[in-house]
Amino acid sequence: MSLLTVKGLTTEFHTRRGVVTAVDDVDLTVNRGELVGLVGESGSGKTVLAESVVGLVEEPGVVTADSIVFDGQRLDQLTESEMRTLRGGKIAMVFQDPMTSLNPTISTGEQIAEAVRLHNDTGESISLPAELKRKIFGAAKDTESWRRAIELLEEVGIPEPSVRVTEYPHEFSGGMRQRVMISMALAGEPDLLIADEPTTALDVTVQAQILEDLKSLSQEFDTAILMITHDLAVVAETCDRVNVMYAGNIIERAPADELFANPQHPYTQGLLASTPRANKRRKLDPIPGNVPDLTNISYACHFAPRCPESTAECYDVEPEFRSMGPDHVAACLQRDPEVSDRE
Amino acid sequence: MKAYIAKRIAYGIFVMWLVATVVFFGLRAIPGDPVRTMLGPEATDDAVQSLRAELGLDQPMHVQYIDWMTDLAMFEFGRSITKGGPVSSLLADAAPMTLSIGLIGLVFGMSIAIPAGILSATRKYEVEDYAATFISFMGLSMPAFFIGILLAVVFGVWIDLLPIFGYVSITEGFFPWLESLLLPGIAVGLPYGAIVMRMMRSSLLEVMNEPYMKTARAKGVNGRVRLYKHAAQNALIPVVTIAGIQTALLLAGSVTVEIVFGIQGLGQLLVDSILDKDYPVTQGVILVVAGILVFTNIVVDLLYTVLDPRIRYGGEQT
Ligand code: SF4
Repeated sequence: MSLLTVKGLTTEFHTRRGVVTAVDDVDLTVNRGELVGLVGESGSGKTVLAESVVGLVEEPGVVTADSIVFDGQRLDQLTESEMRTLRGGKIAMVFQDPMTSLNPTISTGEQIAEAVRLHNDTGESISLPAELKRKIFGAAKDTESWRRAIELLEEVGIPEPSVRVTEYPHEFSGGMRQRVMISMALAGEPDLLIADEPTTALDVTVQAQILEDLKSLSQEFDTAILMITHDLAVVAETCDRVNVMYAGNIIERAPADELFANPQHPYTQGLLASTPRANKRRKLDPIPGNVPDLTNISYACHFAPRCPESTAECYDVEPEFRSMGPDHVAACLQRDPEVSDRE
Repeated sequence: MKAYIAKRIAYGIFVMWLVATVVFFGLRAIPGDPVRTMLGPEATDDAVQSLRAELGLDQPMHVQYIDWMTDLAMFEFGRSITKGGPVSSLLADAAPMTLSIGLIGLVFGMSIAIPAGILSATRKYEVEDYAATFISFMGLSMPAFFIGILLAVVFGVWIDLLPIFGYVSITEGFFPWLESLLLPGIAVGLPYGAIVMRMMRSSLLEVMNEPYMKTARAKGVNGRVRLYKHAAQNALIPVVTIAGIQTALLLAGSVTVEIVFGIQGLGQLLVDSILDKDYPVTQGVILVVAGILVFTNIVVDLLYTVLDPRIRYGGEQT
């Protein structure tokens, strides 16, 4: 059953140099409890897409969509304050760099407790004076939100949570900070967790651990995860389904196993060939060229200038999704659609 | 923490000693003879000699230096050559005036600068921002004494609202005191506030772009709580640095402004003593000013520990 259905989402940034179309008419679906990957190089628009869904895009960004439906609710029609109750509640986010994503001047416990108060009925005031009082005099320790903060820290595997809850972010290691971020995201018992490169800034040894934790938490809380990453290895380890994004478009979508076994889009093929772990051959072939400047792109398939198979047609005709098998679509003119009863 | 404060105070005393030494030798390197200045060109050599002996100025330099240091150790600044009387009582009369002006300037500057900086940052490129920026550039481009003259002309002469001359001690009441010092206080507070406000604005804008502010948004925290709970304290850390450094500006401003307003503070005392070659007084004034700056620095450092949990003096520093 689908939890999040995005249709025709476009995000543009109006800059002095022109309009940057960071996300270009994209559809995206996440089912309940499912782990979905959103893969792409930096600059592909994957983060912007996720932030557009939850209304985090700021000036000069403009988000338009045919519809964004989350749990039966039209997100694109909510006001900012309605959106706020969802953000950090039913839709939570974890960011890339836990070093800078936690506030250095607020104790970790209070940062988690704040999220608890905002999204649960703890009976504690969340007015500005009440929050400022907590900030200046420290959080009250005999409250529901504080107890919950300790529980959440325990939940994500932080040892001695009742001691560490009073500590500040700088007293935690990188992996521990990311756990704090995750515990904060769990405060509202989210149905959807958007994890934006959650392991990129961490030590390799910690990375696998955090991914494992995310997976088991997803099971435990029946939380769907949208895993945003540039790293196919992360996807291989965690995701059920994968969306591959390039220059503002999703260009291929398939179950994870299928995508690794049978990539169809030339870009996905290139990406796999340049990824060490997913690659079975000895030699790594990075895709030549760079992600294009997204200001006023004039060619139909955004991958055309870098594509080894491009023809003149690719510059004129926008590729639509073609079915490549069960649940597998790719947007490439040079692929013959497979006859399939799905999609 | 206690160890740290003790260390800071010891360091402060060292700085004071350094200042005292430099001032002592520096002043004596300036050509001219205080005793001759004092007695006038017609004085006989005998008269000059005897006065010199009386003041201890006939002693070799190192003896004078040791005398001066032993006096200092007992908080004695010697006697004024031209005005008679102990330097310490001259300082005790003058310092409160200058400090009062500086204090009013500090309070005035801060209470304008912080809200204006916040307003300017949160309404970036809007009317409020441009207005605040314009005023702060005015404040920055005019020296304090000039603002003092303008204020005196407008509020003292044209509108005749506030006194523009003299000083009323706080012992005669808070409001008369405040009234006598309001214009000079504003005059030094404006340039100070202008700098602090610019810093507050840029610091807050920078903090607003920090990833943890996005975390707060993603958490569902509303705009005002984000600003005052999540951003303000972080933004204040660099502001405190600037505000501390600029205390020197505040003092320099008071010294010139008090002359505009005919207040016999440290500035007047300093200028007079230099013109008269009144060594002990000059030394005393400079030491008092240096002492104030050293003290401010200690206060600023302690403020850091309050504002930034990453800084813990005395233990390991991260
Ligand atoms: S449509 Fe053409 S340019 Fe685009 S990926 Fe397919 S072959 Fe390459």
